[in-house]
Amino acid sequence: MKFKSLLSRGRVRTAARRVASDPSPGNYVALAQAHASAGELQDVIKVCIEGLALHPRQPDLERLRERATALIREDRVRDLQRELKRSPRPALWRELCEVQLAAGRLARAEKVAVEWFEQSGEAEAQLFRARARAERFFADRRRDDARAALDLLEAVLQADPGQDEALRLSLSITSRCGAWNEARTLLARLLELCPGDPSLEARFRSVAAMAEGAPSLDQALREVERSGSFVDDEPESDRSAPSQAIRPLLQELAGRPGVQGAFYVRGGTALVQGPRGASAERYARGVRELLGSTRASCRRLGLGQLLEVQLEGRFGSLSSRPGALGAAALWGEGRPNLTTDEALAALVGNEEEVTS
Amino acid sequence: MKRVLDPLAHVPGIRRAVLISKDGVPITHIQSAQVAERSEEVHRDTADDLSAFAGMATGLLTEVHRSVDPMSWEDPERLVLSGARGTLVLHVTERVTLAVELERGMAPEELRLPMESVLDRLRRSLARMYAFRAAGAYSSNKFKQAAKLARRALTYNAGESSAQLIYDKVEAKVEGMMSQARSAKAGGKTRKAEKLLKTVMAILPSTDQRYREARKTLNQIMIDTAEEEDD
Repeated sequence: MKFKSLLSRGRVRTAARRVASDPSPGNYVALAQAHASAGELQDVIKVCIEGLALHPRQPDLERLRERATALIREDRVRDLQRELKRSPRPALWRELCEVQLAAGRLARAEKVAVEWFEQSGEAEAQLFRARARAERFFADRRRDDARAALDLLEAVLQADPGQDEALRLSLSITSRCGAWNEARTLLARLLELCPGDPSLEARFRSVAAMAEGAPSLDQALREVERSGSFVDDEPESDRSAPSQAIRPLLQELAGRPGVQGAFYVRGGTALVQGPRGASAERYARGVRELLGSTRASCRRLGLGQLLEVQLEGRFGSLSSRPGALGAAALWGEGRPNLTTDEALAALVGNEEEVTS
Repeated sequence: MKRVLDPLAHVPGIRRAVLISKDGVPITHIQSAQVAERSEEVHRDTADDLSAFAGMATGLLTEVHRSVDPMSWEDPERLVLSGARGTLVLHVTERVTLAVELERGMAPEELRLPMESVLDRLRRSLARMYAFRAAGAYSSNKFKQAAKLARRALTYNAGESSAQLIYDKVEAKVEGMMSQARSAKAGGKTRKAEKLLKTVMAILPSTDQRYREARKTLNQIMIDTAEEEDD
């Protein structure tokens, strides 16, 4: 054991010397790996941060940092669970929930909160459960999650009417989905708790102005589930135009061997290369419908936001990818490949994703 | 049936694999311990529940079929849905759908081979089942049903020897019946010939050459009988 430790320390020293003489990404990665072998996870993170400052977005360094952070978090989770078995107390439950939420493990966070509530019956446990559900709603946009979160928050408020965190979370859910009437009521309750708060008052006035003719909570949640976007999402029209012109890229793609059609859909407009006339219209409609239906299904199935859809059959293959600007699809012979992925990413403006 | 999914049981990164019937009912499944735990304790009302998952996967397929309909394409055989928190791969066959849910970051392409292996196992297993049923029907002298079941077994697995054996036996029976029908017709025993030909037609598919021959002979017998009655 001692020999192993000496050996790893030697490796760390050698790697550090290499970084000093040549601070290349590869040398930073080697130093971080040497620290990881020595079990020095905090040092791994420090090296990765230093390396990323010099080489921003270096994928290996980012991956190592994430991995080290996750391992540290895992260790803390194990410690907390051990401690909770010995002497369960609110501070430990709270930290465990916070750690799971920070790691994005929403199901586990909810499970911990449920256990906490079953053991102690504390309203704070319900608040954490609501937070997990609300995070799930913000990620997946499923109305059932929003409903569950709001019900839990209402239970928290019944137990403790002065719980402003619960009110703020309810407000966040209702206002993000555009249920302005409910948001106005919640703001009024918040103002009772913090009378004269200028930011709350300003918000109350703007929400009150929008409340007339606003959809009900159920309608708003249904619309969010259907469209996959919140009212505070950046409108499509405000987003910047793609860096490259779409049509030449589509033409280039459609001209590649094995490609039968290339499509780009944004709002009500569809650009098609390959199929012509009425067929082009039918294909564009099909691609738009496919993306619409799969987007909702992806969230309902708990897979989160849709990144890509691929269909294969006797017709060949159709790969579609929604992006921030629009959605692109490529119809080709045979199976989809990496070139298809790159082309689609370029079309929807996600070039960085492919290069990383 | 659960053993059909064995090739997927040891593939890392699989959250669950479910064999789903055409109407959205889960037939058999395997799932990671984490999903099993979640399904029991937290999200009974969401996709974590197996039946809901199967129903939603089937609903998704229906929606996809509806979307590709305007393109005049045949139904897709494979569908990959990649999301921010995981990936769903659906492999559609004539009677069942194999749905596999993957952890985030897993490449669906790596699953192609194990999934095809599962479907091959399934086809072989269905072929064996239909061959067994065909043998039962043959021993009860239900030749039409035996031929139908043996044919179905052979469509699932062309190498299913027991199904081929039953089919060959039924074929031999058909040949025998055809020659008996011919001699009965020649000997003026039209009723017997008619009965035999009808049995042959019930056994064979309408695309078979002998079916057409039997139909032609039967028509001829009916014309002859009608002419005799007229005289």
